[in-house]
Amino acid sequence: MHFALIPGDSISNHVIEIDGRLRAQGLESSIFAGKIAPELAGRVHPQSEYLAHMYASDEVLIYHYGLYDSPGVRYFQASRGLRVLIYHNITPAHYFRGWSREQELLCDVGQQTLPALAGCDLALGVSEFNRRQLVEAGFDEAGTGVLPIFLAEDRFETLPTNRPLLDRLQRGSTTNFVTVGRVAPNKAIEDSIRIFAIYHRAINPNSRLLVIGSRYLPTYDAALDALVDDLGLGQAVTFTGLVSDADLKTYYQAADLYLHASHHEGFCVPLLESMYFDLPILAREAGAVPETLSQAGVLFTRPGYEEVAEMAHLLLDDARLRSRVIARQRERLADFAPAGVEARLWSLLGRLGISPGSPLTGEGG
Amino acid sequence: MARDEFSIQIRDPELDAAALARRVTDGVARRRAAGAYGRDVAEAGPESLRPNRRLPPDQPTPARFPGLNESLAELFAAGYLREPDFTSRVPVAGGLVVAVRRMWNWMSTKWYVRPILGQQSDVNAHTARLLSDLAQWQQMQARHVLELEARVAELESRLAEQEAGGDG
Repeated sequence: MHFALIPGDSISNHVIEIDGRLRAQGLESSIFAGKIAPELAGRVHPQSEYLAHMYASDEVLIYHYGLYDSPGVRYFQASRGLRVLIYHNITPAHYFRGWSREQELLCDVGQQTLPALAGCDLALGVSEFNRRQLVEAGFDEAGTGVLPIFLAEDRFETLPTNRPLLDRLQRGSTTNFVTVGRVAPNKAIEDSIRIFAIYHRAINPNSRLLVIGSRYLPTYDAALDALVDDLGLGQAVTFTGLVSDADLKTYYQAADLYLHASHHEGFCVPLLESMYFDLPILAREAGAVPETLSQAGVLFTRPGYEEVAEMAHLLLDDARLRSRVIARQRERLADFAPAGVEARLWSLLGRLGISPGSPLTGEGG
Repeated sequence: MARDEFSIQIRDPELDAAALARRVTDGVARRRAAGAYGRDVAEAGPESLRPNRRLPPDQPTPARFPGLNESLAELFAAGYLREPDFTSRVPVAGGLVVAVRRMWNWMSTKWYVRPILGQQSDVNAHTARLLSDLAQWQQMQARHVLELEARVAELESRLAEQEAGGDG
């Protein structure tokens, strides 16, 4: 169960991957969500239909928590069967202070609610960073674990490339920086823009920054637009908004460097996607990012914009360095191979006596 | 911005992190000397995006209505209506009694009562969901009220200071 099931969303993809793997092993599994994108209407049940399963003591509810969702929390609390929480992290409220009162309060309520979910049978973080937060929130350490997010590589393999878009992005040998994720204050898009501004101004004017992700905070959007104008970047910075999976693949294919300045990440799927597309990664050391990267990519610890821009230049210009960084990223990506994540899923569910082929029904994955 | 604090971390042991750090530092020094960087990017854009902007102070957590979460969880749990299973304590003939009751239920009530149970369960689910949403809204509003109270207190304090100054 999750608040919303939307194609392309990393939590939604994770829910669908788990559901598929449970089914493939002969378990009966269903997905429930409060909001369902039309494309998924046939596969996902409305959240209220879970009521019919709530009394069953032989069922398991897997609840994905990454955004406060009042009914979902109540279903999880009231469910009579085994309860598994998968914690995707909730952005600290203070990042939204001054930008959106609603988002700030929603994150605040979401964080305050986490301890109330501690009575579940198994609580999994999608990273060790998240697992530690669960323990700090009062979850019994012995009942916690880490299940990384599935990166379904075949999703990209089967998607078409948007050829006209690719041609346009690659025209004139322009160097493309990309950053992927919601355009939100915790992502510090302004720092990505400043780092890029240095690179564009002092190192390579034939370059552009592509900010790929939904824009939903008008106050923050307006401030970023004003920053781009003030820095004189004009057409060199593009906010694409939310894009289709095929366009996302195309942007990655056209990119030369992945830049990520976010202050807070519970896992950061775009890092894995960048590894998959052989993009050297330059990311802020924050949240779960160092854990997801391990020894791969290059981290920066504070916005020393000039140093970070210079490092970006080395990653782009030094072929040996670039290929070494990409090779290490490939090795790291192998650690998140779907088969390994699935083995970990079964190992964790095994703690509850759930194994492939066990008579489990009505899982709310 | 502290210009001399190095900010890059390379954790791949096969890369010479110190040599790369030198190349970065040298590159920055060379471009800085050539005046390539221009104005400080940290000073660009609106005040709200500056690296060291001052955030409004955090507010205390509002008091919670005691037992609200638990009551809502119980409401969700109790809202789904189920048909009772027939049992009998009558010795020997109990099984027959149960079978007759089941048969009668199948004949007389199954086609009429079951849809009503479904309708009532839907109503209960929607009611519980609405209450849950209202509880969430209430929590957010409580936080909002606390912030407004803090602002009023600050304004009252400033007003009192001004009035005291005027009297003097």
